[in-house]
Amino acid sequence: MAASHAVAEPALEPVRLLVSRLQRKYAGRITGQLVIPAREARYADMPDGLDAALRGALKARGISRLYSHQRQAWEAIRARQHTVVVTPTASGKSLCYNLPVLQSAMAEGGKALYLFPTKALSQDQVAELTELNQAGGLGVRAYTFDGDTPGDARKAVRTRGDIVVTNPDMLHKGVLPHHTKWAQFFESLRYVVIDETHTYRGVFGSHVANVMRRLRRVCRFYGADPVFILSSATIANPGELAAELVGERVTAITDSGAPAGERQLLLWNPPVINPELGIRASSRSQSTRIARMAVRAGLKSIVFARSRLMVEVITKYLKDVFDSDPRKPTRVAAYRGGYLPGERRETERALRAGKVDCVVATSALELGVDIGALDVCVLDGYPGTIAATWQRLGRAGRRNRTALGVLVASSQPLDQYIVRNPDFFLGASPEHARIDPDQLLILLDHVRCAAFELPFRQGECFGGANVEALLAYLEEQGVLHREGDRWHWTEDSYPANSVSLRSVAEGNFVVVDVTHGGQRIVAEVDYSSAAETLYEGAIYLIQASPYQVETLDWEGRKAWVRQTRADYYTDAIEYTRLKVLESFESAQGERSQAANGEVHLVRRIPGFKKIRYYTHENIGYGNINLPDQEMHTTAVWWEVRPDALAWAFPSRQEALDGFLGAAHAMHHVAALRVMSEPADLGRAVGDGNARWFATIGPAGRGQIRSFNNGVMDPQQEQRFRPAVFLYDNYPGGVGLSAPLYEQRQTVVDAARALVAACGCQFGCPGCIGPILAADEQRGFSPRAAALRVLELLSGDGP
Amino acid sequence: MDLKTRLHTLREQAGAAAPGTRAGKPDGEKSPSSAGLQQRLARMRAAGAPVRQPGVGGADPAALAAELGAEQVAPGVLCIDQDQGLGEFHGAVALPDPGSRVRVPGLPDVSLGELAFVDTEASGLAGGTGTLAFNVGLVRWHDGRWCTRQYLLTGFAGEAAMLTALADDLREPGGLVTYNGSSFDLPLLRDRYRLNAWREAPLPGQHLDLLHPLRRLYRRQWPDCRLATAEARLLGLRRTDDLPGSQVPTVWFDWIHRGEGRRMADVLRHNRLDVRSLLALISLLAGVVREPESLGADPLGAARIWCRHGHEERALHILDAANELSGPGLLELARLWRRVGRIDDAVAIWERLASEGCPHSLEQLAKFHEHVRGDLRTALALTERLPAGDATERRRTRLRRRQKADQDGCGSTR
Repeated sequence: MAASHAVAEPALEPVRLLVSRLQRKYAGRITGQLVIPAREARYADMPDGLDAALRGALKARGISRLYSHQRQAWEAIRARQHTVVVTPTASGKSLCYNLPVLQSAMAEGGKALYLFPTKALSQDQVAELTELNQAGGLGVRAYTFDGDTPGDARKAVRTRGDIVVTNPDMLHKGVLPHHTKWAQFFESLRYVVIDETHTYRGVFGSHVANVMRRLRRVCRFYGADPVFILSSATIANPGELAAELVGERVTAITDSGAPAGERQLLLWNPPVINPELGIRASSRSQSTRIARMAVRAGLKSIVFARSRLMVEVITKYLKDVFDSDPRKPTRVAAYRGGYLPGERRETERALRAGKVDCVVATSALELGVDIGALDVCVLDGYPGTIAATWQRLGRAGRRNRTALGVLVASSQPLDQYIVRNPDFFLGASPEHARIDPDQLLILLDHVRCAAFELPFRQGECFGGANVEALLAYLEEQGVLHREGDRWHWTEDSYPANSVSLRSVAEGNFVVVDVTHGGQRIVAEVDYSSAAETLYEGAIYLIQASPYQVETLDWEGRKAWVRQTRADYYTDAIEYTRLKVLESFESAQGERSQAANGEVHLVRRIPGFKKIRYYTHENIGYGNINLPDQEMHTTAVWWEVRPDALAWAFPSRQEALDGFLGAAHAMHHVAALRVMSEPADLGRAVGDGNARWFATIGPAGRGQIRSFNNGVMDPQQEQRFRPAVFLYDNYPGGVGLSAPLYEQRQTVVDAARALVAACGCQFGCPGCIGPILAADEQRGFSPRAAALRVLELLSGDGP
Repeated sequence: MDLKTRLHTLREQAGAAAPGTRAGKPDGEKSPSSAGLQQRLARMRAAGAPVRQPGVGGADPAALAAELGAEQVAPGVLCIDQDQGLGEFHGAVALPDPGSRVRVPGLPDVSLGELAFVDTEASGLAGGTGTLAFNVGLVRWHDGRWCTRQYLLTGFAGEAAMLTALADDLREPGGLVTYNGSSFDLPLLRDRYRLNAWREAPLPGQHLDLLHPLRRLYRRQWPDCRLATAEARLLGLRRTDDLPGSQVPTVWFDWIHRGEGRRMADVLRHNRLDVRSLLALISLLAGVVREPESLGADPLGAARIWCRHGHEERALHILDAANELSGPGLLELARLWRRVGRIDDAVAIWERLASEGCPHSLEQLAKFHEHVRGDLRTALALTERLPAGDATERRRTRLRRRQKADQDGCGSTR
């Protein structure tokens, strides 16, 4: 409903002015341009039989007819079909679910549960419902229920709320395990609304699908069978994802009837500064420059960076320009996960009030958090998926006026591929969102939680699967007890408390600031990324202020940090040793083979690099002493038959460099193929037997090492069978490997095309990874070596 | 790797807090895995996972019943009745007459014979629907005696029958007496009734949670207000070999998992003492709120209870009669004096406390001297002794301004 049906404002001159200035000054850097023209609205009548008061409330807010997709959604939902609405930002998505929900609340006292991925979104939604309610005196009560809801208000929410707005975590920990207190609510539950459905993918989505299984199980207990209404940003398979989340067929509505303002998109490639090495200026320098120009032109801007670290670096650069005078209010703000909620709410308020001119954010702001209208969106680096790119670009121009998006390519291969082949990106369809609700650890977690909520009966299914084997496992653990045909909970614990929906891992780390003598918690870091961000000596950045980690208590999950004035940041070095445990399927090629299976990997973080701001030179190393991290997961790997390899390469060194380069390109192509956070997919080159792994040494050459013996000589190895591994970066895997194996040929071919088409001489960060000046003397081209490996690999399959 | 080993290993890699036993060598065996759960599980079975017979263990409800002197009233439910006559003792306190009334402000004034005293033992302390009450004890006046009845579940299947029987027992009583029942026992029972398809829990309308008045009366006098502390201090009851509350779930799980019922008698004893203590405690409360010091209670707590329910004169009486009052008690007394217009008595207290530096008294005196006596100089002197802060600063500024105005007014008296 954010989209009132107002007429588009006239295009704001400053945006067009900025575009023409950029085109004039930097024509050579703009490799592609797209203008998406403004789109006309298509309307439909209000449905008959709509409650008169509701009709009046809508009218009072300027809505006397519906967009075509809103009417379509109404029809489907009223016919009791689970429905997913897939339309752009600000297309009146929320009316699609508010309309049937309010109608049901007023006509039959029907209740609805709204789920938003974050608390902030819930609060926006309640504010909106309250306004509508007041406009029409509807008497429908909408409440948020989350960790901030005070204890004495909770009962009122449970018993009096017509619409309860919460998030999956709260449903998981605070509602379902106490469902008896919600009995009244569940008995009358007609609708479950899931907004921002596209965010429920990967690990989080797999957890949420299981929370939905638990929700439906509890609903059945109270004799309720609610209709699910979902909304999603554009992805390739919204209907499929929604169906996996809900566990039943879902009707997809994808044709928006809402108007949209003109949208301009520029693809931007930083200039080459070292033609020999193919090195380009950094994307952050370009993003900073564009953001500077936008802010100076009086345009509200957002810069999306790809990592928390990069958010801090870019914020610092922009603050150095705009916030150098501490007496003036700040004009630049950072926004990312890991900040405490209060701080984020503050930034959101400042943005809505227009007090901040530029915000630098991670994907945390990609969601529909209401931050008001923005004019310019700069993407520092390709976000990793086409869907996420459009989602982020959608943050600018919400109010039907001309908006500008600039995608600034980094030196990463995918980025380079996209800016050099603008037609590929501009014409590509967005990716599939995948979840794996039956991932063993995740499923086990939720079977435990479900058994706590209601005893399992023999033969009862959870999702599609019969989980008796898991129940038997839990019985053996003493967690459950079987009596007759039921399994009962027999542990003095509250299982939901130990299950985090955001990770497969357990136990977040807290970051404690000891600068001012006290102990103040300033951030939280999840288990899986703790090792590479919180090692002793690490610079941990919060709002661009550097904190140095003084002590890390690995067992206690705590890091103590102190504010510092370091002029550098730190980057962890990572070694990964990998061993194939079992191959499920494999495909033999003429000279190569690809397989999909289970691997055991050990990750060691032996040290870190200190990198100076602005110059980005490496100014030192530090040691890290942390326990190795082990993981069983699934992977896809590619290897070349030893005889073919020996025949194709004069030296093992050259073959090794080829494999490392090929892995770099394949990793990035694969990330494009399976819509996942880039970090969900790991890469390694090794012998698959955990004897050695390959890494790039300080001199820029590939080397093989083992954990115990350090650097080894490939020539001395009896068995030399390097393989490229791409693995699910979670214990037990999250279902990325199987679809990747299906596309094994495409991954190799696309990587080959990427490397072949690259304009560099010996290799560059845009294809096979960075190379050093000394490479010219190594006697062969690492890029040619990588190409040869990819040729050998691509002989496989049909 | 069988499913168990596999799950162990994966959970450990995922940072599970308690590593437990390290399961197998990760590099060693081949392990099953695949996209579909069914396949994974099928492989697991092929790998020869042990299939555990359900319901193993030597659980024998009849033997347990015999041992406990209980009667099996329904499958899975044991019941133990034990009567006590009037005049029998619980600790050092004689069981009260059923006709005596509660007479505690804030609690319904009914006679004790109309009440049911209830306590539950649960399978977990964390709350939530996975927790059940496997032992419920209640004391009622029945056929001229105080009757203690305890239900004990020997299996999950007995719960529905137990709840129905309990509902029968609770049909007559007009009120329920518990210790911390508003946070624990009652929500638990309501959850259990709801899970067993009762739309409303059949509990009496009145609820008297003794923790609340006891906390008011003894919070400042005792290290804690646990029921055991109240028993020791008020009832002269010292529990020997009592089962700690935290052990209660374990006893139930020992029985469920292994048929090991050795400590079940301890749970029943613990529960029986709890529920009888409620009866003994409530019979003392009426006296404690009237003469708190007679039983070592805080007169201030008693006064607050009376005040809360609109009896300020009684509160004043209690504080005035107290042999010893704490600082807050004195302040409360001064407040009440002032309210009944005996300002000089209030001032006397404030002056005494102000001499010990009590900021609240200093402030009250400053107000008194400024507004009642019109003695700005004294008011200002008192203000100077107040802790720094916005309020103090405002007061000081105002006083100085008025003082100056007075001086400028040159001799004109206020």
